[in-house]
Amino acid sequence: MTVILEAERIRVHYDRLVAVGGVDLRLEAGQLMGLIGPNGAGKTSLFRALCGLQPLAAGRVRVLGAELTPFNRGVMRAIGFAPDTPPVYETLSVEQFLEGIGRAYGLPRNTIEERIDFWLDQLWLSEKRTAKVGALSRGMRQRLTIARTLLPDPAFILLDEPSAGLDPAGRVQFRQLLTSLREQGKALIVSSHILADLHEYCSHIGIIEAGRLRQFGTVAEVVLGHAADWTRYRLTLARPMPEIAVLLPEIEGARNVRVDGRVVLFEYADDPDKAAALLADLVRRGFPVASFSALELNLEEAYLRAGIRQVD
Amino acid sequence: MESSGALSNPLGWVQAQLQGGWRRALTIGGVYFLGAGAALMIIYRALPHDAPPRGVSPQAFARGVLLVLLILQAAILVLVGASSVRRAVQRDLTGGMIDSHRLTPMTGWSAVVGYLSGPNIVLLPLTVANWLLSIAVSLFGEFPPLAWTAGLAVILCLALPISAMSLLAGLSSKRPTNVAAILLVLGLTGGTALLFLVPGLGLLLGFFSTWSMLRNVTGTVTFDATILFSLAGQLVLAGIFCVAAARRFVREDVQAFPWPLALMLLAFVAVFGGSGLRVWPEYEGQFIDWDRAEFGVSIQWIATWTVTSLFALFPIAAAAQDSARWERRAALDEALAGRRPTHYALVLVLAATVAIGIMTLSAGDATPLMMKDARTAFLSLVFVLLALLTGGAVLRFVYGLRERVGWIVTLWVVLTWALPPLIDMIRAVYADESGPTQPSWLMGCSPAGAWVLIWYFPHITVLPGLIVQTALALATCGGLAVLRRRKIVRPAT
Repeated sequence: MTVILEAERIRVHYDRLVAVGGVDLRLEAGQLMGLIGPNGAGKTSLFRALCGLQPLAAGRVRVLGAELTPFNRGVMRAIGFAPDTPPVYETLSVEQFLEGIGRAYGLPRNTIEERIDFWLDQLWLSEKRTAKVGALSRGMRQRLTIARTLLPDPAFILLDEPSAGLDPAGRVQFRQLLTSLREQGKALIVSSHILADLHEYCSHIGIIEAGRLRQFGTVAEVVLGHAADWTRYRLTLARPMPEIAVLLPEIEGARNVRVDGRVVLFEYADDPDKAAALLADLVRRGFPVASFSALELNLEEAYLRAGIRQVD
Repeated sequence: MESSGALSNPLGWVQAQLQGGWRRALTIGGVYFLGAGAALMIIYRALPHDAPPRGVSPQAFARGVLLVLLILQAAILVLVGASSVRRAVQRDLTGGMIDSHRLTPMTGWSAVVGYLSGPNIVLLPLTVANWLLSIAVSLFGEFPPLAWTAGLAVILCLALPISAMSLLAGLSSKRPTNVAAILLVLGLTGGTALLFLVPGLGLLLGFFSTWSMLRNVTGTVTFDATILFSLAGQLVLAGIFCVAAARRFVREDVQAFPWPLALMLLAFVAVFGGSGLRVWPEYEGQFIDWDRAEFGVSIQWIATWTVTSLFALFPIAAAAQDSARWERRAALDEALAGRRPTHYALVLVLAATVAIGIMTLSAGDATPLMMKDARTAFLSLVFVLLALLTGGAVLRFVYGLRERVGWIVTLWVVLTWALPPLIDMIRAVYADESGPTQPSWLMGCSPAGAWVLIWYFPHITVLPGLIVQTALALATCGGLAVLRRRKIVRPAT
C-alpha cells in the first residue's frame, strides 16, 4: 500500500505549553483515522502541524514521501484541510469562492468548472451556486468548506469536526462521502465528538490526551483494548443469584463483573471455546442460565475506559 | 463563470472580486474621468479670460491642473494603494483566509503579486483616467505631454516599496500598521529634516530630483543620473521587501529577513547612505535654510553611520534567532533538528564589514578628511565593532529565552545608544557654565555619542566611554558564553 502520511516525533509548543508532545503517525492509502479526545487535547494543533500551517518545535512530517516544509509548495497539492471554523469570504458567491481555490491550485479552467459542478452536486449546494457565502447557514458553510477541501483532489485529507454543523441527512451523506474517499485510496484523518459515526466509517482510531496519542490502532484494536484478546459478555439468569458476584471474579480470566438483578456483565477471553467452557461450568454449578452472549463493544466505551480526563 | 480577464494571478483575481471585479473598477474609472473632465471644463469656463494679471491663460490653468492631478495621483498610488494592500492582508489575517491561501501550492511570490495587484484594481482605471486627463490638459496648455507621465513613473516607483512595506507589515502582525500614513505623519511633523540629516534617505526617496521635477510638470523631462539611481534604488528596495513578504506569506514563523537578505538590505542602506553623502553637495543649494553650516558633512556622516550601524543589527539578529531556534529543536530532538545554521558571530563580522566598507566606498570623495586621520578612523571603527559585538551577544541571549524580542531590543538600543547622550544633554542644560555648554565624557558611553566626541570635540576624552563599552561587550559576550555552558539559556518546553 502507498504510504501517504509519515509523522515522526512531532511536537508543537506555544511558549511553555506543549500542545503536541512527540506524536508518531503513519497512514496508508485507503485508511481513515478518527481522532478523538477532550477539548484542548491538541487535536487542532496536530491537524495544523500535519498540514504545514503550524510550526513544529521538533519532528518531521512527510506526505507522499515529500517533506513538509514552508517552501516546499508542491507538496501542498496533496493536502486538504478543513478547519473546524471555516474561513470564507462572505461577499463572494459560492462559485467565485471555489473558483478562487481552483485557480490557487493552478487547475485548468474547464477542470475548475467540472469540479465545482461535481462537488456542489455532491454536497447539495448546486442551488446555492450564485448565493453569497455570507448568506449560507452554518451547515451549508461546513459543506462549502468540505467542497473547498476536496476540489483540488488531495491524497491526504484532514477534517476537523466536519459534521458538527450538519443536519441528520447531511451526516448520512457525509458518511457515504468518507467511505467513497477511502475507496478512492485517500488517507483521511477526521476528528469528531460523535463517536458512533467514527466507529462506523473509520479504519483506525487515535485517542489523544494532553498532546499525546494515548491509543492508536484499528477500530477493533482500540475498541477491544490493545491486546484484543478479551470481550464483554452478558449473562442473564432465570432468577437473581447474588453469589455469582462472588464466584465469577474467582474464575481465571473473568474481570470487571457487574451484577444487576438477573443480568450479569463481565469481561472474559475473546475465544468461543473458552466462553463455551465457562458457560458449561456455570450451568454445572447450578446457575440457571437463560441467555449468554458476547457484547459488541463500541468506541464510547473504549474512550471512557481509556480514562481520558476533560481539560479545564 | 466570470471571465478571468487580465488578472491571471489567483490571489489577485480573488482580491479583485472582493473589490467588485473589473466591471465595478471600470465603472468607477469611467465616471471619474467624465466627472473630472466635465468639472475642469466648467471651472475653466467660469474663470475670467481677460489679459493677465486679471485673467487666467490656458497655460496657467493647465499648469495648475497638472500639478493638482500629479498630487492627486501621488495620493492615489502611495496612500490609497498602500492602505488597500494593508486592508486586504488584515482581512485575510483576522478572517483566517490566510490559512486557506497558505494551504494551496501558491508560492510566496505569487501571493505578493496578488496582494499588490488585486486590492488595487480600482486604482488602475483611476490612474489611466488621470493620465488621459493630463495629456488632454497638457495639449490644451501646449506643454509636452510626457512631463506628467514622467512624474507618474516617479510616483509609481515610490509607491511600490511603500506598498511592499505595507504588505510585509500586514503579514507580520494582526495589528494594523499603515506604513503610508506613518510616513505622511512623519513628513508633516518635521520628519523631512531626516532627509537632510541622512542625505541617503533623501536620495532614496528621489526627493532631491523629484523636488525639481514636481516644480516642472510642464517642462521638458530629463532623467539625470541621480533620479535614475533613486528609481533603481526604490525598485531594489521594493524587491527586497517583496522577497521578505513572500517568505512571511508561506508561514508566520518564517523569518522575513533571514541573515543573507538582511545583509543585502544592510548593503543597500550602506550604498545609499554613502551615495547620499556624495551627491549632497550637488543639491544642498536647492533648499533654502538647509546649508552645510546647519547640517555639516560631519554630522551627516555620523547620522548616516548611526543608521547603517543600527541596520547592521538586522542580519545579526536574524542569525541569532536562527541559532537559538536550532538549539531549541536540537534540545528536543537532535536527530531531526536539521543542519546547524551559520554562527551569528560570522554574520556579525560580515555585517560590520558590509556596513563600514560599502558605506565608505559609496561615499567616495565625500568621506570627510577627518576619516582619513588614523586615530579618528580607528576609534570610530572600534566603537562600531564594540556596539555590534554587544548587540550580537544581547540578541543571542534574548532569542535564547524567547521568540518575540522586539521591546527588549528596543529598550536595549534606547538604553545604550540614546540614554547616555540624553543624560549628558540634561546635565549640560543644568550645568552652571559660562560660555557655550560642552558635552562630557558621558556622551562617549553611547556609540553615536562617542562618534560625536571623536569628530566634533577631539579635546574631550573618549577613554571612559571606550572602557564602558569594552566592559559592556566583554560582560555580554562572556556572560552569554557562561550561561550557555551552564545551559541556563535553554529551550522553553
